[in-house]
Amino acid sequence: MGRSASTYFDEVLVRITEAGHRPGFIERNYRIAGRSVRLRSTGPALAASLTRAFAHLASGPADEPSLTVYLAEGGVVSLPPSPWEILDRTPSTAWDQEAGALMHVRDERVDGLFRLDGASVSMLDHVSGVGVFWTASPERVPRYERAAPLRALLDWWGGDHGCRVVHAGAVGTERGGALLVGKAGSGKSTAVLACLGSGLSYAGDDGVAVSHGASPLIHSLYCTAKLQPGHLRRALPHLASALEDSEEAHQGKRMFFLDRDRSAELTAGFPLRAVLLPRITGRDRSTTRPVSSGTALLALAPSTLFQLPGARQQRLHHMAEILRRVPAHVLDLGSDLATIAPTIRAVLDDATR
Amino acid sequence: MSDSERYTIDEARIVSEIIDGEAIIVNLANGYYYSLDPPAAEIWGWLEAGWSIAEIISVIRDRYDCSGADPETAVRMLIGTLIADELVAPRPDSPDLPDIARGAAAAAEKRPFRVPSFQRFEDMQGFLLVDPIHEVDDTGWPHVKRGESTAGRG
Repeated sequence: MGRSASTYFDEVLVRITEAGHRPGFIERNYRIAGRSVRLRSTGPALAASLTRAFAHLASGPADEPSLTVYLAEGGVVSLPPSPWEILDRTPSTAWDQEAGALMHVRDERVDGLFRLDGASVSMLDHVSGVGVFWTASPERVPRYERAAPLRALLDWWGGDHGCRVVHAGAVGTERGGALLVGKAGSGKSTAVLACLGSGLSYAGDDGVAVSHGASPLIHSLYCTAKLQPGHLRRALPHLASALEDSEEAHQGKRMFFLDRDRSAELTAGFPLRAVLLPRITGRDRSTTRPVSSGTALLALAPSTLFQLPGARQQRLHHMAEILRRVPAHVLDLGSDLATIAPTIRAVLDDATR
Repeated sequence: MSDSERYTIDEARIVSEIIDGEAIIVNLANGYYYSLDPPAAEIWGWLEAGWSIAEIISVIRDRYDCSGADPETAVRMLIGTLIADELVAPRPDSPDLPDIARGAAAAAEKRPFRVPSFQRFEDMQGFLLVDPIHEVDDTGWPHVKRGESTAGRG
């Protein structure tokens, strides 16, 4: 009998949880998508690297978390030899680059995602609700994992609970919020960051979870945002102080945390009331116009599907189900960014009437 | 392309959804994605259901006023393009299906037949090349070491 993703996961988990490491775990607890999540790190540097993005979702410990993820580093836990030849490639010397090919493995119980350069491994046991994120060292945590930690793992786990990660930003109030969808460069981050200070709460700029059902809900995952620093200083100067607490991201952007200066404006989520497709225009004022659900799916689905591994047809259907339930609008972004929040609020008011 | 030919869609590579009368199709292998207008989306749905060209043309003639456009040419052109883009492929077996076209109700008031059309988008291809996710499949990649096997199903 050969080794499957499940048996490999079991071997990794045993190595991480063996008695020598257990007393040293740094444990943090969160409420994510309405469920308890526990993160256990083998070291402080790794905990700092991978948990800050969840700071706004911190909670007390739960007796039985829905998801427990072990965060482990190569200096403490070595991975067992893999059953897949591709993983035996000499690790790339270019490990610090942003992009990295990924390999997705799956069986009846376990999903796994391996960076082919050996920098990281994510695995989830769907039955036990236990996951593992292993990285060669805290310094080798891929940049996208620092901005949006455990995204694939949270998506797999969410999928077991009717909830999936989508490539979108979101802002709103307790009564309801909008999902902002579109490929990179469409203006999602600018639009959601322009809403800070307006009374609309921030749920994310690049990745949130959405649960389907008769009343879909948006769930915040990360209190991070990414924007080009020059654009931030020019367009949103009141947020420029966020750059003091930022890290290099891809494509010349900086990734910054909002928990330090904007914690009161961060939310765990809200009901989904509308989907908006930002478009950058040359006009002064922001406006909206209705658009078909098909156009909204075209804006949301491709980048989501290519960012997240596995269950693609199921994932596409999930997105379509959500979009069938709420109105969609193009959000034509005006150069006067102060007009964005009132425009979004008007759409939400209409949708909740 | 014979009238009786039926088609298959490689579900490991192609995902699709019909919403609001439009079809969204994504080719996971090359990053291309497609938006099909309602006439094309309707034909896509029939192809998914296993209908042959003859059955599709027959039901179009039953349901639509075809005085302004030739459905046979339009359907063949659309399917030819879908084949060229590797979204569908002729089925080697092409089994007989039970009277699909005759089972479809003819419309009492026929709407004009519109030539199906679609758009192809290629902007995700760069993303795919830079940051690909390789799915394990049963054809053996990634290769399991000798004497071992995966239970991966991609």
